[in-house]
Amino acid sequence: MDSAELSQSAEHRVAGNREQHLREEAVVIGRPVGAHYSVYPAAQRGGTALALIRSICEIEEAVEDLIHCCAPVYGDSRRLRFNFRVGVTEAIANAILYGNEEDPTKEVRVELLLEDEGILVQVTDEGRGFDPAKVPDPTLPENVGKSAYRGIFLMRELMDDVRFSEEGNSVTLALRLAEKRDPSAQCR
Amino acid sequence: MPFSVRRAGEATVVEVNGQLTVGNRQELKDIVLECLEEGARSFVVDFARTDYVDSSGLGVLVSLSKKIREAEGELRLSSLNMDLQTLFELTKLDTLFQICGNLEEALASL
Repeated sequence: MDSAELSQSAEHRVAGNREQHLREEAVVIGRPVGAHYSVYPAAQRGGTALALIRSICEIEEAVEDLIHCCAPVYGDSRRLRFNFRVGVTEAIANAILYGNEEDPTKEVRVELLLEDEGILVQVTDEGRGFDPAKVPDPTLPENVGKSAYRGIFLMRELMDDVRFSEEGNSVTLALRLAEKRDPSAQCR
Repeated sequence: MPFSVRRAGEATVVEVNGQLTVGNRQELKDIVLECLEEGARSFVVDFARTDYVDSSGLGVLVSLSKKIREAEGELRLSSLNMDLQTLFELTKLDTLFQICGNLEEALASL
């Protein structure tokens, strides 16, 4: 059953020392089986999207939905289908697995800002944070044969900018996307 | 079903359908370890119908590679699309695995 809520204004701190003020005008779409609630505005420059995710099994659908939200603005590019998908998926998975320790009562908040130059994505968990500088480089010869450490590496390789909050429980990813289509196109 | 398993001569072929991610990596691990216990030693993991592998999926492949090697077996990966090939190259896993263009080539190399 779908439901709608009125818009709300919010201030968000976006990575590092830069403050970003967002105005959210959104329609809440309630998921019939209660898997997660996703907030989709009309897809346009300056628009926002929000997803609240609790479990690993929700990631694929949520990331697909976010891509569908961005595609009308930036076009269907490989950078959106691949770079964005990988970077955001890895950030969300890390947040659920390590940040929230797979606690189903905790949420991962994924906020998108669709800017002229591209997309800003902020992924925030309810964990204690960590020090990303301590994550080893998985491409070093001594690490290639290990099964871990590739998530953050892939985020850094495929997104144009990756910044962790001081606490380490929030990461902001930036992806430059130059292709744009009709900005008044609506996402589904 | 995310994984299809079949025999091709002496080889065990595991086809990944859709995605190999943190959500189903354990299932792949269980399948291959069970085959190892039953005596299988030659494996091909085929990605012809795979559109996405995440870092956890890459990790389980690394882990399985080690297990198979310890059992004196062999592992090939086959049919990676451009995106998957990029992931393996970025992470330098193309230096760890023997990657073949298609399943036939992989089977012929075993």
